[in-house]
Amino acid sequence: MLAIKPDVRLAQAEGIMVQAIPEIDHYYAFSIMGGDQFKLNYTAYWVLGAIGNGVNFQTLLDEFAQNFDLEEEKAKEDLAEVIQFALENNIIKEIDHEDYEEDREIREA
Amino acid sequence: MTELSVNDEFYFQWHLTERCNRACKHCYQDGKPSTELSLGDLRTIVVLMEEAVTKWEKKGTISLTGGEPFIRRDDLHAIMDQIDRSDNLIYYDILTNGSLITDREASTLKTHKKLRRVQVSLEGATAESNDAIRGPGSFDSTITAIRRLRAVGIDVSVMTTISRANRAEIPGLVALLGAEGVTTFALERLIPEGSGAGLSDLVLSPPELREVYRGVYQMAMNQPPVRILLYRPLFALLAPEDPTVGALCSAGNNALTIMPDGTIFPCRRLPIPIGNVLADGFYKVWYGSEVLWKIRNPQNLNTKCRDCTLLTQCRGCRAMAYFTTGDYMAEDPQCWQ
Repeated sequence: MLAIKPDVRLAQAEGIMVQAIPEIDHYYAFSIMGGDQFKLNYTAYWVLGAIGNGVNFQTLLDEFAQNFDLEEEKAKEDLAEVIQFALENNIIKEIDHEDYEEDREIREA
Repeated sequence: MTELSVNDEFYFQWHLTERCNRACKHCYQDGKPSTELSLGDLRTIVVLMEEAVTKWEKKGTISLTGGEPFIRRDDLHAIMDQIDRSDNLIYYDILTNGSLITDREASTLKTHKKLRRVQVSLEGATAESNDAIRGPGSFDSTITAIRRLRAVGIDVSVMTTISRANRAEIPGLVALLGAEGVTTFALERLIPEGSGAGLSDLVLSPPELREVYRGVYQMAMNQPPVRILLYRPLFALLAPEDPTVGALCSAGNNALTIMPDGTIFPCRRLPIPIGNVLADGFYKVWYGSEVLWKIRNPQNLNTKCRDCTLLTQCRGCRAMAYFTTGDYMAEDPQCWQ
């Protein structure tokens, strides 16, 4: 299982779009840069949406556990699986604190 | 060259120019001048098409058209040469009015290895009925083009836009096209848009369309002298159990239309701009367009289409809905179900 520090910050990689047709249970992530497309399940779709432009792992874990009504260990295990897949496929990236603050300032401006 | 299954194919309808030497009454163009891209930009688009279909593990097919595409003859051939050399753009058709196809042009076209067919249009089986819509001399010109193309062994398809003005012409057309050695015959419904925006009175009512489609279906099932294509929305209502009859609209599914300035539409008959191929690329448009996502979700269709038992086979024509009601997710107004 991927070991993730609680304070690591994650964000969707540049050019990633997350789309859904919830009525027919179809969820996707797309890269508009390289054209890659990934079919997701609802859990992965929720995680990528929650990561959005930046979130730290502990906050994400808390929200994930609450949203899916999971014990912390189980939540950590499931979340790590999604994050590992997303990192390996460049759907999300780790960002350092300065990048995150800079992004947040831009978002809030 | 074989037909592709819809699952394997991604189709581009590519309008190289809006300029035309005809002024057909029902044309979906509005006659306004349009910016045209340079040959260099056209070449870039071919590269982007190839990249996209390769990434999507599809086979790319293209209709090169206009306006009248032979008005940009040199650029048209340059693009055809480039596609001939591509790996995953497997064939193209040319949609033309045929008026600029000389014997020499037909021979030159024959040298392009990925040219599948040339499509011309006829609206009637006689000069009188055809020229009333497409203009004086157009019937003879089109028949001449068909003969020139057939003489060098190029497959020809004919498309007819069906309306109250020409619905009685279909049997005559089938006989004519068979005699001329035409390969396929396709019908499109008149949509009141572009130059044809004022022709709403000629749009067939649902019972009238049902009668026309029934007649076409019966002809198609009785070994006609030309292959009649039935993969269009609403044909499925006639034979829901037959997979060769009817088809889902390709908009949002496996097709895009590119206009002369690079603007992308979901379909040429549904002219809602969803991006520009040079500014945005295909991925951003295909993955991000709200219009396309709205079309893809069958739950966004209005009640009649959404609750129809043929939802997985039909869904109607979004362009007909758009130009009749203003809502591209409305029911197909010609549906007789």
